[in-house]
Amino acid sequence: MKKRTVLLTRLALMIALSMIFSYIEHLLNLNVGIPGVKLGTANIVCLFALYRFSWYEAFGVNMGRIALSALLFGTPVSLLYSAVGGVLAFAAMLALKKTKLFGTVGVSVGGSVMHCIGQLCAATLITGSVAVFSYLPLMLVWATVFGTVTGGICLLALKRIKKP
Amino acid sequence: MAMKINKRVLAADICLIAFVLLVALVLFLLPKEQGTKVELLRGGESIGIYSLNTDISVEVKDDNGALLNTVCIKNGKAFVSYASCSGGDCAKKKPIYMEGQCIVCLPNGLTVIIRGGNGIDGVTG
Repeated sequence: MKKRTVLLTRLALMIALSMIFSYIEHLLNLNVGIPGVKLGTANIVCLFALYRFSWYEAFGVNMGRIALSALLFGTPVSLLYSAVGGVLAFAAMLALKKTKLFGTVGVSVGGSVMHCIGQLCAATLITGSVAVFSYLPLMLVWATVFGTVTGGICLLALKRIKKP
Repeated sequence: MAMKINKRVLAADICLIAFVLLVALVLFLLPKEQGTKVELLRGGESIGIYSLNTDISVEVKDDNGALLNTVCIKNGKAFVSYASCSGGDCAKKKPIYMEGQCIVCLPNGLTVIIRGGNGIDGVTG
């Protein structure tokens, strides 16, 4: 019982934290010339959970944040984007971590790249045109930059935040 | 707190980043030709094809007649001058003119794409 309470509380805290990051990004409204490109700071929490706790907790944080953020600040369309991108990004991060080859930065970059590809797939579904993939080269560059930054921050957090 | 750096992991991370950037570079450098036409798609269906050589302003409306977007063709380049959505990202995009380039208005489901050639190039080679 105690274990379940700890798990629930930890999940709730992490989802709340990632939602705060999502909200701050929403306020900053970063414009890099491509609609929908975000810094992805909310992913720091998911990545942290993946390394510190377990894959299902990280998945719970990811999905919980996506669902609640869409309900609070999004639309059904933005939910589709976030969900497709989020699931693909999570799968990529989990797979890359399991290889034990890459560090948090590599895993984060892989997740960012797959997030972009997922979003472009969702955009293809909505617009009915694969032309949206012309955004891919620039999105890959941003995914690398932002993935490196968020992976680096997660690495620092993992080093500095002591295990419970 | 001193941070230990695992050189093998660092090298793998750098390789991954370099690989992604290389893929992006290759995609950037793929040969593109100057486009000749602009096609407007809504929900995956073509709603009009216009020549890039003729300056024109096209209004895209929904089924009820409400204005969604205004697409302009000027000096051989196409751009979105008005978007009814709150974000308006598509209206901030630079004009496009190379084959394959596109501007997407996601809220309105509009895609503006540059097409090239005259239909004959496609069957040569």
